[in-house]
Amino acid sequence: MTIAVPVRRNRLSGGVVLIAPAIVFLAIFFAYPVLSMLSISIVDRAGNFTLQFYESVYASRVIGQVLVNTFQIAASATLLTVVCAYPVAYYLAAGPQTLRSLLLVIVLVPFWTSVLVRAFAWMLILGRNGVVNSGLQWAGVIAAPLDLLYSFFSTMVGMVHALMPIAILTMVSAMQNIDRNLDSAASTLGARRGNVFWRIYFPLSFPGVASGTMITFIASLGIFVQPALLGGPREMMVGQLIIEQIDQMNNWGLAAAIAVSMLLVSVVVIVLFERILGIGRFDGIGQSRATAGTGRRSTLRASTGRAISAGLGWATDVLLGAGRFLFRRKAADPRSGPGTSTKIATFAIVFFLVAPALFLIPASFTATRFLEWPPQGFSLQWYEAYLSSPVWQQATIRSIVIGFTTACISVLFGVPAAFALTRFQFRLKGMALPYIMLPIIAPNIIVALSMFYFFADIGLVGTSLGLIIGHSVLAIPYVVVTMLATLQNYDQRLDEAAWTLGARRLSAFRLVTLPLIKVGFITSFVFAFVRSFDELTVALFISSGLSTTLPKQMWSEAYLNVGPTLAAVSTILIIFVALIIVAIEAIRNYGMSSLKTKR
Amino acid sequence: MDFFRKTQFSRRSIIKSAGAAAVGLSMPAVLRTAHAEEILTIGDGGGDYTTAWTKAYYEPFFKETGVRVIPVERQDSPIAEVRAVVETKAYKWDMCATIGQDAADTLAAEGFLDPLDLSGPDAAQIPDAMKSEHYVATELLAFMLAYRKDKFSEPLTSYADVWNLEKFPGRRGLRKMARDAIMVALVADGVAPGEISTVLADETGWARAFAKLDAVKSDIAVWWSSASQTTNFLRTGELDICPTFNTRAQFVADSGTPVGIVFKGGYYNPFGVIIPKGSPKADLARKFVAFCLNPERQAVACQEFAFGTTHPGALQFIPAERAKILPSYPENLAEMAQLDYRFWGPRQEEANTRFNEWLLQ
Repeated sequence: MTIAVPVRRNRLSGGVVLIAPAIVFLAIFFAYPVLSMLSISIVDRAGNFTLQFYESVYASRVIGQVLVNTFQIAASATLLTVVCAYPVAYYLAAGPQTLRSLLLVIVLVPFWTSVLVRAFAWMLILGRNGVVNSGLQWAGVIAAPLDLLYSFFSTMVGMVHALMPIAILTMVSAMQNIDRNLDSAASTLGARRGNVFWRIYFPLSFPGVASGTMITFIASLGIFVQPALLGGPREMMVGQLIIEQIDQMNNWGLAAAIAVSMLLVSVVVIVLFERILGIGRFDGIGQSRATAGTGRRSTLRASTGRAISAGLGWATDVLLGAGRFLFRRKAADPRSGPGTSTKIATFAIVFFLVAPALFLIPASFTATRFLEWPPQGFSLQWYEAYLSSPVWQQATIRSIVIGFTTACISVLFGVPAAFALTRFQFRLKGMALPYIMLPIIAPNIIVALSMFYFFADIGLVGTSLGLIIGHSVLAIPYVVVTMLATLQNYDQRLDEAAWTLGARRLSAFRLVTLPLIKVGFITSFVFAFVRSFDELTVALFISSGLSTTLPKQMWSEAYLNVGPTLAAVSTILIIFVALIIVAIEAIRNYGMSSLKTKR
Repeated sequence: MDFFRKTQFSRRSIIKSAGAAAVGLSMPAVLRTAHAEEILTIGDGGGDYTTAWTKAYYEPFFKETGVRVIPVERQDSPIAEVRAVVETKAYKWDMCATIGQDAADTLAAEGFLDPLDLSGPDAAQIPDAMKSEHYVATELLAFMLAYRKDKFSEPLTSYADVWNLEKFPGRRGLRKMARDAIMVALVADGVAPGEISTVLADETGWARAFAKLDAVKSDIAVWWSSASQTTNFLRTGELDICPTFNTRAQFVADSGTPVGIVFKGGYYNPFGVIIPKGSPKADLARKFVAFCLNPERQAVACQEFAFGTTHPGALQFIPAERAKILPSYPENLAEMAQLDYRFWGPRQEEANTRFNEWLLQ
């Protein structure tokens, strides 16, 4: 494995060696095809240079308005997602081990249901005669059904639900390595709960929050299924406009011009993120703290940050005190991990995450051909349809194999890149992260079309390898961001200590580095797998007609309506994945305990 | 076969040079039919559409000729995909079914289609408005008014009723698509479906359509974008009134939900087959196209699925009760007009922009 390359004395070349494979891979299979495709935005039908498409973009009120909408919707969804994800991540990282695998399974549930099915599940829940409305009417709370769907609210519900697992897992990976003894130290020195959290834990978890925010924001820019299926007429995203231009208008030039404008704005946003939140700032905590201390601006920033966290700590303590006074409870020990409020928040959010699946499962046993609430009759026919169909099963196996291979390749390229970004200095490093993020920002339809043209040239259309490469391009950014979050909280001096004590580079990596980054590593792997497992657009273009993938098969099944077969397939997947995760967690916990005894 | 052979060969060589065991593992036999059996791959609608076509055409064709027709999922709108296939010569399918006449016209105008062979006796029977050098319709879909019968004491009779909130209160939805919204509005305002292009010849007509849409904008609960949503809307009662495609509404009605279907004032759009330019199996595809125009086989497809027939002789093979609900039933057809794709083609862009602007207001 590339990661095992011993860290060189010469930091410049070391960083380049680690990041080059990812950069080159993306250059060949993403940047080149997509740039060739986007270049049609400056060429007219006759092949001459033109700016007409950009002129139409800037002259159009609709495109301008939709761009603004897209960023507004993405920003709102990101804010909501990160705020809601934090307590869950905190609980997962710092809470009791016992509930952890169960919680992890639940957090991941939205991942295993296709985007389309999830959107329809929310219709089932929020519809006029859906779960919420019929429940509230039955209870006599409301007389007439509420309009919950086709609004900004339902768009947010759908998007936050889709984005939350990404945000949670990215943050958990970073929080995993926070030394809990620091909390104990603070409380020994007299700090109360709120202060311990805001002045010790929160600043330490900040790299995770920053990475989580960035990846969530970028991912939300590309979402359009939820706004299209759950939103009102104003929830229009750029992705929809681009698809309209490509699919209906056959105006690829304009589509490319819109995409380029969107990409440029997004890159600016990422660079700002990087500047303000310090994602990918080099080295582990110790060093970054040291660098943060130099220069007037950073000193100012650091002291402002300290003042804010002190204020928040004080405010939280006052609130907690008031709460204790009201409920006449004793102050909890700050060392005991997440408190009651965190627990309540966590369980509320976890319920939100699991809700669509919760109602999808009973709906899959319906005797009718519709997803409806309450389900009518009882039947196993939809499970039978899946279990007796070789097409469905082959599609499932194929998707698993392709997802697994994609995950292996993405980790192979992504993990070294993340090491390079956190531990090394090299030229043009500032451009590396935005570059690696591009595949998430670029609209799916553009990526799929570009790949189709390029892959057709090199004979990869209709092959599994083509699909795997296509999916790896889309998955690498997730791996890099997750590993960044992990490595930023990883104290590199632990490695140095191991070397000083005589460990060879390889064994130091195996015995010190690897166990510490394990959670981030597994998370990245899961992200990459899921990105492939639920991918439709590239699969429709690239994969062979003769062997289908699961999302393609589901797409085909949804021709007339999104029916109970899809709910049954989702249920089977959820159960299957739950079993795997529980098994992995069991092995992991076993590994952890054996590691502890070694220490 | 050439294309698959070629890609498979290059894939093998790539695997060898990469030497990646993991990649090799992930290659199940791509070609299910490894024998000498000839195959024809066809991009169709998927799901229930494929089921109907398998019964009506794919299986009978195999029995008659020994050629296995393999259906493949494709994008909803074929324009980008066909263009990409032709420009790259990567023929992932040999032909496509369920292509709207409007999309086929765009593709033909851009030179992305191969001509069909419409010299057979069945092809001669297909009305001229539903075929061209590169295209022939195998079925009709109607876009018309659907509503829940159980929510109103009186039946709805026209699009004008969508605007009549006093007589027909209830939740209503419209398609989030410029062309269809404008057409519905004009018909509701008293324009005959066949006159829409004439009325839209100048700005007065457009202003009239948007003024009519203004009148109902605040009462539209859902602007839907995906037709698969509308089956759920009608079934679950999310909407009481919802213009949609007749196949969707009929599917809900067939399952026992009281759904009323009003063809009057709607439009029908032929759907059919095309061959992408340069398709290596164009000749075989032409043979299959001729096979699909047989009236008896069309009758089988339209019984499975509420398409209208395009061969005038097909209806006689369908039981009278079923024939009555199809868009091609003479009485139903007479109440609608064919979609004027020649009018809309060049105006779609402008119409979309104006409509989106109106929606975002």
